[in-house]
This record gives sequence, C-alpha cells and structure tokens, in this order.
Amino acid sequence: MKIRKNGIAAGIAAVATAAMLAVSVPAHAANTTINIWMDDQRGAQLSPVWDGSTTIAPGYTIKITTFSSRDAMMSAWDKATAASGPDMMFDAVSSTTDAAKNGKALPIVLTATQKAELPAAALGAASYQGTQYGIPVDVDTTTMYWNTKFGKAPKTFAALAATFQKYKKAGKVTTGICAGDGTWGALPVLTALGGGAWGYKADGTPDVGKVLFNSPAFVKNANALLVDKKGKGNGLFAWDGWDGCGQSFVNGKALAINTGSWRLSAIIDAGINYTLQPVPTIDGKGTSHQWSGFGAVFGTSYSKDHGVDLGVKTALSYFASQKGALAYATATKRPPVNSKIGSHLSADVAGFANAAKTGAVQVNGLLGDNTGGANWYDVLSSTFDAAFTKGQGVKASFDKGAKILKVDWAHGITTL
Amino acid sequence: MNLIKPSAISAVLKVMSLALATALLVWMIYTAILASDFIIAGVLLIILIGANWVYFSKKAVASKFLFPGTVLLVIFVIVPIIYTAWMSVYNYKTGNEITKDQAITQLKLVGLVPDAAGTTYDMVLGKAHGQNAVLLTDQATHQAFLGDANKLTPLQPGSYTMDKLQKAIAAPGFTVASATDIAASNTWLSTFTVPVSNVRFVSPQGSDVAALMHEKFKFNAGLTQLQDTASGVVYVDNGNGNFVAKNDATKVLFPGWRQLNPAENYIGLLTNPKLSGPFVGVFIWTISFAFISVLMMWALGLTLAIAMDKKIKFRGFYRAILILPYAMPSFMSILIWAGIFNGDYGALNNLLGLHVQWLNDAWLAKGVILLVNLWLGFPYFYLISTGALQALPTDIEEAAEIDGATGSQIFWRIKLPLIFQILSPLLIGSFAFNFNNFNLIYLLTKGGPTDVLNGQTAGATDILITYAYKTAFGSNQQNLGLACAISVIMFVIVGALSMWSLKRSRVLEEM
Repeated sequence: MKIRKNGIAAGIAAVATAAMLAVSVPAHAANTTINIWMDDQRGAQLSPVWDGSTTIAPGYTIKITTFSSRDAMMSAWDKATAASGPDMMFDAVSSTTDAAKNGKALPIVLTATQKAELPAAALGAASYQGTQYGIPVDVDTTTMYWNTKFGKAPKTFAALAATFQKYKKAGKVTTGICAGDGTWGALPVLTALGGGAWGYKADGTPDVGKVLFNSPAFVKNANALLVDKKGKGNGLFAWDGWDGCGQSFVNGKALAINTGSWRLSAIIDAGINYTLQPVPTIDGKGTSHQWSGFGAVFGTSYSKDHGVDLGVKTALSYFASQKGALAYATATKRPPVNSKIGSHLSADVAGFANAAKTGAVQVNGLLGDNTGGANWYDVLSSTFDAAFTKGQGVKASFDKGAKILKVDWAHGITTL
Repeated sequence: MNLIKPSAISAVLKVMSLALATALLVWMIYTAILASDFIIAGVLLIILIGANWVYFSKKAVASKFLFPGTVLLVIFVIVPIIYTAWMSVYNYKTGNEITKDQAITQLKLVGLVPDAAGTTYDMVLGKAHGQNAVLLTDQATHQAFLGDANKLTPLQPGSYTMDKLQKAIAAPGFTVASATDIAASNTWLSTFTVPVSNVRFVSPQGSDVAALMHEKFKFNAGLTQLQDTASGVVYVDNGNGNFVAKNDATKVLFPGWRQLNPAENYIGLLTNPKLSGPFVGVFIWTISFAFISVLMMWALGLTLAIAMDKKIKFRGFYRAILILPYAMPSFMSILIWAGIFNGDYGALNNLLGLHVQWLNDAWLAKGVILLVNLWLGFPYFYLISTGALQALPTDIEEAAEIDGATGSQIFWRIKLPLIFQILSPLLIGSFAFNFNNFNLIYLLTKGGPTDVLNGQTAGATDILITYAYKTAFGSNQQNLGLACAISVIMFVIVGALSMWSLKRSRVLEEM
C-alpha cells in the first residue's frame, strides 16, 4: 500500500516536473540561425565582427561557435551529427575537401564575379572531384624573414651560405636558414637549390611523373653547401618546430627563417628587425617557391538538415565578395585570396599576399597520400634526418624519399 | 518534539529525487526522439522504467545498490565495446563514413551541376498568381524572367523595374517576399526548381542567386548504378562502399558509405603486408614493453620497500622523496623528460657535452621509454610492496629462522612468493595499464622514430594503442574500421591475459 502511494506520488511529481521542463523546450519553429564553427584564433578575431549579424544572410542570424583550439574543433567535427553539427566551418582548405569526400559538405555554384575575383588555383583547392564546395578566404604561405642585424638579405643562396660561414666562425650564429613549423617551410630551400616536389605540365597542373625531390642539381648543390666534411648537416639549413631553430631565430642565433604571417607578432615582440623576401636561388636567377595553402569556409550537409542551406549559400556569397573578404582580412590580418582588396592591406599582410603569387599550391591529395608508405611531410623529415643528422648521404637519402613520393603521387593524382 | 518522522522525510526526498530523475530522463528521451536518435531514446526509456521499478519495488532491494553502477557499466564499458566490435566489421574510413542512403542523397546533390556556360541569375523571391515564384535576371545578359514551379517566362524590357545594377526588382503581378519570409521558406526553396527544358532547370543557390542546372548523374531504378551523362561512364556499386567505374575500378566516386565487410579489416591485418608487417612488430614491442616495465618497476619498488622497511635515519624523509614522482602529474613529468632527452636542445646532451639523438634512434628511444616509465611507476610499486611487506605475518619468518633458514632463503622462498601472491592482481592490472599506456608513448616519442625511408610505417616505440590511434586519427586518411579491429584484438589479448593470470594466481578462487 505504501509502495503504491509512493509510486503515485512520484508519478504525479515526475509528470509535473517533466511538464515544466517540456515547457522550457522551445517550440519547433523554422530555424533561421546559421551556426559557424571557428577555431580559437579566427573565433576570437571574427566573433566581434560577425556574431549575431543579420545582414550577412538577410533573414538569418549568424552564430559563431569558437573552440578552444583547432584540435578541439576538429575533434567535435569528427563526432558531429545532424543534431550537433555546424552549418558552416572556417578551417584549412583540406577540411573542405575532406568533408566533401565524406559527404559532409554542401556543393555550391559560383557566379561569374566570384570566379573573376578568386584565383582559379584557390578555387580549385576548395573543390573536389570537379565540384565546388568551399570559398577560399585566406592564403597560408611562407616567406623568408631575414634578420637585418646580419646586413642586407643576400641575393643568392651562395651568398647566404658565405654569410652563414662568416658568422658561424665568429660564433654569432648556429643556424643559417630555418625551415619553421616542421617541414612546411622547407620547400623554398629545396626549390632554391634546384629541387622541390613535383614538376608542372604546360597547363599548370602537377606533373607527378616528374619528381624533383632528388634532382641532380639539388643533390649537387646540397652536397656543396649544406653538409660538412663528415657528411652531416653543417647548420646552414635547419628544420624543426618553433621550439628549435625557430627559437634560435628569435634569439638572434639564426640568419633567417622561412615561416608564415602567424609568426609575425612573436618575431616583432622579440625585437628582431627583419625584411621579408623569398629564399634566394642558388644564382639569384628565377625564384624559389613556397607552399601556398588556403583557409576556406564551407557549408555543411547538416545545414540542409537544419533547414538553413540557402542561408548558408547566401553567407558564402558574402564571404566571397570584396566586402566580406575585406572584413575578414581586416579582422584576421591574414593575406586574402580575393584579388580586388589588395590596396586596403597593411605592408606585412601585403608582403605575404605577394609571396603567395609565387607559391606552389599545396595539393593536399598529393601531399597527404601515403600509399608509398609515408606522406610528403613524414618523408621529408625522415630524409632530412637521414641526410643531415645521420649523415647517410644526400643522394642516397633523397633517392629513397623520391621513390616513396613517386608511389604516393601516382596514387594521389587519381583521387583529386 | 518531532513533528515529522525521519521516515517521512526520506520518503519525500526519495520521491522528489526520483521525480526529478524521471523528468530529466523524459526530457532526454524527448530530445533524442527529436534528433532521431531512437536507439538512445530506447536505452533511456529502459533506464527510466528500470529506475522506477527498482526504487519503488520491495522485490528489488538488492538492485537498489547495483542499479546505478550497472547502468554506468553498460553505458561506459559494455556499449563502447560492442560498438567498437560492431564498427570493426565495416569498411569505415575517410570517404566511407556515412550510410548508403546518405551517400546516395549526397551524390544526387553533387550530380546537380551548372550548365557549361555557368549561367547564373540574380534572384528576387516572392509570389505570382498566388504561387511561389522568382524574379530572375541573367547576370551576363541582364535579361529578366519570371519563374515558378511550372515554367520560366522571359519578361519584355520595360515591363519590369530594374535597379541601378540592372537587376529586376519588381514586375507586374509579382509580390516581393521579405527577408524573414525568405528565411522561413528555406525548406521548400531549397528544393524549388524552375523547369527550363526536359533536362535543364533553374535552382536557387542562396536567397538572392540562382543558377541554370542540369542533372549529371542518372541513377537506375534500384539505385545500384548511375551514369555520368556528360562522359557516359557507368558507375556500379563495388560491394565495398563505393560506386566505381564499370570499366575502370580506379575511378571511384566519393562520398562512399560504411559497408559491412566482416573479414576485410581482420584478414587485412594478417595478410596485407602493409598492415601485418607493422602489426606484428608493434604487437611484440607492446608485450615486451608492458612486461619489462612491470618487472622493472616492481623490482625497484620492492627493493626500495625492503630497504625502507628497516629502521634507518631520516626514513620518513626518504619515503616522502620516493613517492614524489607519483605525486606529480605524469603528463608533466613525461614532457619534462622529453625535453631532457631532446637530441638537439636537451639538458642531458648539454650537461654531458654529447650529441646523442636519444629519441631518434629506435633502441635508444625504447630504452628512454622504459626508463621514464620506471621513473613514473616505481613509487606505486614501492607503496604497494611496503604494504605487502607489512602485511606479512611475522611468525612465519620467526619459524623459518628457528628452522635454520638464512635471510636470503627466507626472502626468496617465503617472503617473495607470499608478496607475489598478494600483489598478483595489482601486477596484472599494471600490465594491462601499460599495455595501453598511450600517454607515455605519445607524449614522449609519438611512437617514433619511424624509419620511413626503409619502408617502416609504424614507429619503433609504437604500442598497439598508439598504432590504432594513428591508424584512426593520425592523418587526414582515417581508417576507423581498422582501428576498431586493432582495438578488439587488444581487448581480447588483455582480457585473455588477465583471466589467465588471475586463474593462475588463484585469486579468483580465493575471492
């Protein structure tokens, strides 16, 4: 009897509480909120500008969700469902193509104006299997910061090597040029010495049959300039994360570093006076090349589930427009992709925008492919390690790396 | 004077607590149903019914204590194990993450492509003759049209109003919708098309832009194959989660879908040289690492416990020092050790004037891993060994001494076997922990070094859990199904070893 009484009382209480909670659940009206995910950097910079905006996509309200880090955002993205996923996301362009491959990106159609203002290479990077998915918004590229304490930036790589030997003997530097951010900043050194990744066909597309990684010119120049008598690296070229040779540059112990605009404030804060220019080629002719990656924004397939896909497409048009691109570049200080807003940029941002013009497009489908056993980044660090740290020979090490890359790219090109 | 009996207060509290729990569960079920997560809704419903039955029935007194733990065990242990095992029999990787229905829906969407000329229109949404309609202006020719679900009608110049950008903004019989109306119309507008011919139509591409489109992919009735109408290539279901070109299996359409393929991941681990080679090496190192780690930690911990068991000066101080590594968060210790052993900038090389690449050589890195693990783990073994030593009955030792046993004999033949028996469950637990010691490996070496130039795809210090993590999340080419298969194998190994060891030490029988 007591049990029954308790049960009845609990039932009444439960129903009453559930009713109260249910009332607090909003009624199911048409959704007009566009939820955009950003990492900590973009989120902090763009939330004050765009969060709550009702003008980017008229009739819709922009809601920016900022994550504590990019890792946190990508972790949430991996676990996202139709219920929890965003409507749009800002990230490296590889996220756009990955989302497209996984069926989580919204296909879009570009207008003639957008095609005219956004470089074809950048648009191509945000497309997958011939379909456009994202709008490229910024250029991630690198250039060489030269510490002017050591005089003017050299015009040839040979002059850079001579300057390094001079200051090394004097005990003033330990590193010549540092490839910052791991292996990402190494390409201009490779290309300056006659090497690189892949060749290009006449139409500008990658020629993956032409692997430049172990080109005879590079092997010859690297043997002449980058290794010592013991066959190990002589310090002219170093590569690793920001805590290694990057720190040496900040400490004034490296002549130069090849890195991106994201290091500007750290270098300025360290009191380093610098000039920005490409890594000089061996003889000063032509130019070296650095990777050009892009940041992009794309609409997700979840936006369709949320009933805001058209609003998302409208917002994408805004981000592709000059007005949207300028607002983005001003807030983030990242070099823009939109070619029409250059005159509004600061000198440093413009410097990186210029660097992007000689950039080699970072084709993620090729660089990330590991069919041969490892991808470009892992091959590069292992090759550098073998050639310059372990002293296993430049030719032998780069030949092994090239063999793997050839397999990677032969497969990778079929997936683009 | 007690106005309210304690039993009444507890009854009220019980009813209120259950009412609140019930209400929350009802709310969660409602939310899960709204999100179409019917399995979750079903599980929550079972918990709801179970909780109310257990706490309001006299027949389920014992379950009152077991119920919360059982629910948590099911949610956080049983379900993940079942889900992992379930996913391990799927082709589940980058490009094959969604269901087949979702993939086909997405392919149909991707198959709607702009015409070759890339014709786009400025669009104004509204109503004409009581129907939803769009006022379109060709962005290239500035020709205006009125479109509805039935047809596209060109408008005569002068019959409509243009703005300064030569975009038609009003026309007779056409009522412009407000921005709010447009947003509210998203659902129907996203599927709205204006037919232009049998194969072409105008489709909105935002609130104010539309494009001339056609259908690139034509599916057959059974949705088992599709044809690219531009190239004529026929794509067929390859049975493994993708549509591939009928005459060229290397031409694969994405997105694909998760495909049930029970044997692929497991057989691949055994037969695919790219997977089996690293897997065997990683497996051997995992067992060795866990075994050697436990052995070393126990040996050192026990030695120190025996040393500290004697009454020596400053014993309390030494004991405090010995457990310091245990008191410090392990991830901090590991990162500090990683800095100390850095080949270029590490303190060890700087202090000794060496240039040894401690973490860049396979054997040295393994040695460093074991050394750091010993540092992190010996205080625990010191503590439990001290406890075990103190728990040993002293009369056995005295009896042995009377029988003429030496100190060495007493230790090796009496104390050690007894300590081993006491500590067996903890040694087994420690072995299982180290078998899955992700933090140590990932923070110290990230599983490396990996000699990729000589064909290695797993790092020299990778253990199964880091290998599985890298397989699943280590690059932009994730293979979640394979990682699940590796996890299942790990689960079986650890489970079997634990059961075997527990049985061997007769702990189960004595419990």
